[in-house]
Amino acid sequence: MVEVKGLRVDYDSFCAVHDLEFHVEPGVVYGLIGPNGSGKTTTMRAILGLLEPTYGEIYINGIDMQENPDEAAKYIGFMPDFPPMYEDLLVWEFLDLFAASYYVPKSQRYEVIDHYLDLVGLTEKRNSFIPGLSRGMRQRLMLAKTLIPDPNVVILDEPASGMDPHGRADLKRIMIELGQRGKAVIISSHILTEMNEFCSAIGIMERGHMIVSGSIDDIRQKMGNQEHCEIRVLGKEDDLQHFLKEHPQVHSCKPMGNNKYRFHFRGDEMATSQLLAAIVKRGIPVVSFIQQQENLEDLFLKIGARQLS
Amino acid sequence: MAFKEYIQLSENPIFVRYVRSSLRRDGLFTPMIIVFTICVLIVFWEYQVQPPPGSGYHFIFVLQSIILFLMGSYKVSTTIAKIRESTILDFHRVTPLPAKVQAIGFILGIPIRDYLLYLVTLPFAWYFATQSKVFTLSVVMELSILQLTTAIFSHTLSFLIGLSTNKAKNSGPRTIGLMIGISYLNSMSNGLFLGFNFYSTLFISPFNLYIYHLRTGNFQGAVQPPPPAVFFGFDAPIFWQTIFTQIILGSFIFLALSRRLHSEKVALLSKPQALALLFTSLVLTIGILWPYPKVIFLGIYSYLFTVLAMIIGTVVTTNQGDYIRGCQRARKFGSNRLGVFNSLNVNVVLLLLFSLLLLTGFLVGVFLVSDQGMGNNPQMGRQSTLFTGNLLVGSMIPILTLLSFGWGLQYFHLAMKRRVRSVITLWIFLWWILPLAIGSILSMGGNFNKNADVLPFMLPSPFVSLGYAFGIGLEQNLKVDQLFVVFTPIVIMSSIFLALTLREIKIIRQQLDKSLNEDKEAAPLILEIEEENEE
Repeated sequence: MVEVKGLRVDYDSFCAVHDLEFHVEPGVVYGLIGPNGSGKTTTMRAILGLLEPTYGEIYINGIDMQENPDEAAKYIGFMPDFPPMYEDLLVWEFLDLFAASYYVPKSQRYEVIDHYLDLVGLTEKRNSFIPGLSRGMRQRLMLAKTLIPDPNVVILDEPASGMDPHGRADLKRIMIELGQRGKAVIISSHILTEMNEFCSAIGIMERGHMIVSGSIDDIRQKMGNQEHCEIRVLGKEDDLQHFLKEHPQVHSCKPMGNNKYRFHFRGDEMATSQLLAAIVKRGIPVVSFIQQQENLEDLFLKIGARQLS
Repeated sequence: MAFKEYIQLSENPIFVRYVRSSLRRDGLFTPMIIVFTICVLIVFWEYQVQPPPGSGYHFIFVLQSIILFLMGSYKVSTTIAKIRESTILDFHRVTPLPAKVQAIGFILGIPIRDYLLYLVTLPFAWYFATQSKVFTLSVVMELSILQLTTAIFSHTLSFLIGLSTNKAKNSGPRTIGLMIGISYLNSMSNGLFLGFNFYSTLFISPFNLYIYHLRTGNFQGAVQPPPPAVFFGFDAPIFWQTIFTQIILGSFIFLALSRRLHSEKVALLSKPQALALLFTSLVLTIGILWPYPKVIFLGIYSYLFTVLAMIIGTVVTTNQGDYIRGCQRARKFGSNRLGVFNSLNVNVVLLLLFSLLLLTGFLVGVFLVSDQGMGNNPQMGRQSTLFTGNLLVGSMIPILTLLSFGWGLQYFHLAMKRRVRSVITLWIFLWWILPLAIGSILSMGGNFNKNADVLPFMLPSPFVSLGYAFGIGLEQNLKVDQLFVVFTPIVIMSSIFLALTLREIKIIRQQLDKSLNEDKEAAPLILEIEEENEE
């Protein structure tokens, strides 16, 4: 659905994006991760056709973005981090402007606008002037504008910034829904814990290079899949620590406070259940035992890219 | 792309958006009442004062010009500059709506309220037309049409200014300055102030037609008959000449703004388009100036075309970043050179082509322009006595001035990333203004008896030397000392800047080679990570 081949973007003598290669299939929510200045926004702007790349190919739905940008644009929805808006328009007029720009037929526009206003929870603001909207509401309105042409490719640059918890929950729901409906979604964010909940693939960028790209499972595999476990006990902590230290498949055991310990465990599900059984057998009173895969933040740090700002 | 999409304004989302927001009752009512009241006051003034018939129309004409050219252009320019600065324009750029359709929506939509205000004035213009022998109904109809076409032309130009100005707050003053400049230069060249009897060099406003009717109608104060309305020697009504010129030049401006509207990072015109614009302007000017004496033709031509070629050259001058991008792209596709007409290439050969066009126009002026005088105008009626050899020497002055400017500009843009504007401003000041200032001070000091004595001090400035270029065609003997003063700076500058530009190209290419080798040597980061994992 989105294919980027050998993309390079230069600003004067500075190379912002260096020979980038990745693709996003339909139904995939792709998180573009990297510190400030890593080239995420430049990559997104090049995909959108807002930047002329030095060289490289970008295909949207198989259409060459540089050869036929107007045709490719029909399939893209875009939402920036801080949405500027026309302050002299009503909410419905703003959506109508972009619905018409994406060739939504006049006869369907009224219904389409109402549908998306409902989706983002702004129905009661339909006839309000835009200056009367809060920042979070503007972000939601921008999301509605992005989704109105029912794009096959949705590009979101820091979409959650400025949204209240309710808006973030809505965004998460909509992202998951878009993925389920077969849309290719590219999303950049600094809030990795949130992306963890709806991204099925990621690309980690650093200084203009794509360090790693692919589905989260593949990357975990590639990085040496290490699951970590958290255990909370009511006593016999010394026994527990000693046991875990001696266990050949356990390493990096760290106390987390409140009788809680965290450690990495290499082994399949059967080995995990045997580990828990052995702990219980030693008479250690276990309150909780949680096995977790590495989240995006762990992967990001493990890959060794600079800290997110 | 269906043609219908371009002309069906009711389906143009951007036009519709401005109709909705601009024609809300609250914002429209007050200005309409004000304009209507002013028109009524003009009628009342004419009734009370009883001025020469047609005087009332002057005021209506000025009011219409203020509404359409000043207010409308200001609004278009500042609105689009703000939209661009706030990045909303990016949303429009990523829609499938073609840039040209968007441009039409913006150009006609933003000043929609001003068009309505103009409509309020129209009945008053027609009322005055029925009272006047000079501005009859048919004349007023023609002028009204030209005002509308000129409004579209100037709004298109203002749109381009808004799109190209770095800071939104600067776009308004620049637009107003340009509109007043165009109006003033038109009026001046029409002879309102200086008594010359020729039209504006390019017919881009209704003022030529206005002046023509003032003179043919023997309106009070119009002492001279109008010059003939011909194009390449054929009779051509000024109305149609103006429409024709506006369409041709407006198309180039529209082309430039569509390119910029589509992408922020492209030059306003491609290099072939820049060449085509210069050629078209040349043809139009020669056609319009056809009946004038050779000396007038060459005077206007020399100034206008050197400056025009400089402006067009500036528009397509490549900066360091663009050139590096072009080289990287060429290398990717296995080539080491950029084509002459590649938009990312430097202006070295292109400026030579510009010079060739300039020279061609100069020669056409010397040998082909009719030189029939100006009919019954005694001031301009004489045949020119020109010395062709001297003129050919003179023709080198605009060409070398253009090359010095163009190559200088190219060098600064190629060699510097920051402070380019400051350096260029200083250079232009020292070259164009300083000699003029020194000469003026010397002439005021009383140390020189004749103006001719201070001429050598002023000649290095193109303001003087471009006029001198055709002036020497009237002189039998060339003054070697004056020629030395004129040619020395432009020969030195053009040679040095060409050499510096070529040197800069070489340096950039060497740096690219070096960085390419470094890239090859550096292991990709992904490999490093995989190795770490294996460890």
